[in-house]
Amino acid sequence: MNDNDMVQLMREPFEHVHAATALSAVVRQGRALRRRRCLARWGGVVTLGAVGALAVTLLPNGSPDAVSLAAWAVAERPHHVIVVNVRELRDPGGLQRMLRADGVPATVRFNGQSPPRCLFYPGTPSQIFSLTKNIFYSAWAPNGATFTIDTTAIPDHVGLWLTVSPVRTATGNGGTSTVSFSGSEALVYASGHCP
Amino acid sequence: MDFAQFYAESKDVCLRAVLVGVGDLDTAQDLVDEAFARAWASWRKVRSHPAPQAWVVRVALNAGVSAWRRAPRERPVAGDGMAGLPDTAGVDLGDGIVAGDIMAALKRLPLRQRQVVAFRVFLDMDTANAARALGMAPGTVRAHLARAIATLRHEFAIEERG
Repeated sequence: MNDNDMVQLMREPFEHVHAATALSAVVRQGRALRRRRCLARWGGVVTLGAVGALAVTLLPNGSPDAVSLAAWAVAERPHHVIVVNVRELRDPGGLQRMLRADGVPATVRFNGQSPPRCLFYPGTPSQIFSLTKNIFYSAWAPNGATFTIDTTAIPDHVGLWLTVSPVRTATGNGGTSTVSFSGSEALVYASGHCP
Repeated sequence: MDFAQFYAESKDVCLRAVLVGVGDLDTAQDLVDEAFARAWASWRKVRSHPAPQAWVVRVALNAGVSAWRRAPRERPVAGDGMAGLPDTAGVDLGDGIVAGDIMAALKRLPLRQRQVVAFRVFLDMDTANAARALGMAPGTVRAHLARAIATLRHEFAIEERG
C-alpha cells in the first residue's frame, strides 16, 4: 500500500460515524453563549459605573449632591435572567422583597451577616458547586456587587442566600478612599427556614 | 455561505476529526457541538476564516485539552478501542484488517500524531494549512504523519509500495 492507500485505510472505519445533533440544538446553544457574552459586557459596564460613582461620592472635596443613585437595582434580562447590582448597603429587606416578587427565592443581608435561621441546602461540594455555577453567572461578577441569576436554573426547594459587604481602601494623606463590595452567595432551603 | 449550510456540510467530517483526537464518541460529540455553537455565535468572524472547518476542530480539540487539564480524574479510562461507536467495528476492510483494529491503533497514537491525522487525513488539509492550524512547522506535520503511517504499517504488517 502506498501512503494514499494508508490514508484511505484510516478514513474508512469512520465513514459510518455521523453527527447526531440537530442544527436547532446547536443554534440554541450558540444563542445561550451569545446571551452570556452580552450579559458579561452589560454586567461589567454596570459594575464599573457603580464603582466609579461611589468613588466620586467619597472624595472629601467632591460634590456628593451631584450624584444620586438608588442603593441597588434589579434588572430583568431576556430568558428569565435577573441582574442585581448593589451600589449602597441600604434596605436589604426591600431588595429581598423585590427579588421574591420577581420569583427569585432570595434571602438578602448586607455587611456579612450569616443566614439567621436558614438551613444550608444539603449536597456534596461538587453538587453544590455545580448547582451554584448553573444559577450564578460567575464570570461577570468580578467585584461581587453584581449577581446575575438564571432563574430557570433554580431547582424547587432551593433558595438563594445573597450577602454583600464593603471593602474599603484608604490611599495616602489626601483622605481619598474608594469602596468596592464583596459579595457571596450560598444555597439554602427556599422556604420555612429563612425569614 | 450561511451557517446552516456550513453545519450540514461540515458536521460529520468535523466530528470524525475530533473523534480521532479524543478517542471517545460522546466526548467528541459534546466538544463539536460546543465548537459549532461558538462558530454560530461568532459566525461573521468564522465565515471569513480561511478554513472554517479547521477553526471548529481546533476549538473543539483545545476545549477537550482544557477540560482534561481542569478535571484529570474525569478523563475517560483508556480502553482498547474507541468508545461509543456504531456497531461497525467488525467490518472487514480487506487483507484481514478489521475496522475496529484501525480505530484502536489510531487511539494508541501519541496526541500530536492524532491531531495531525485529524487535520491532514480527516479534514483533508495540505501540509502548509495543517501546520498553520496546529501551530507547527510544516516539517513537523510531515514527520508526525509519516510516523503515524509507519506505526499502522508496522502494526498490520502492511508492505510499503510506490
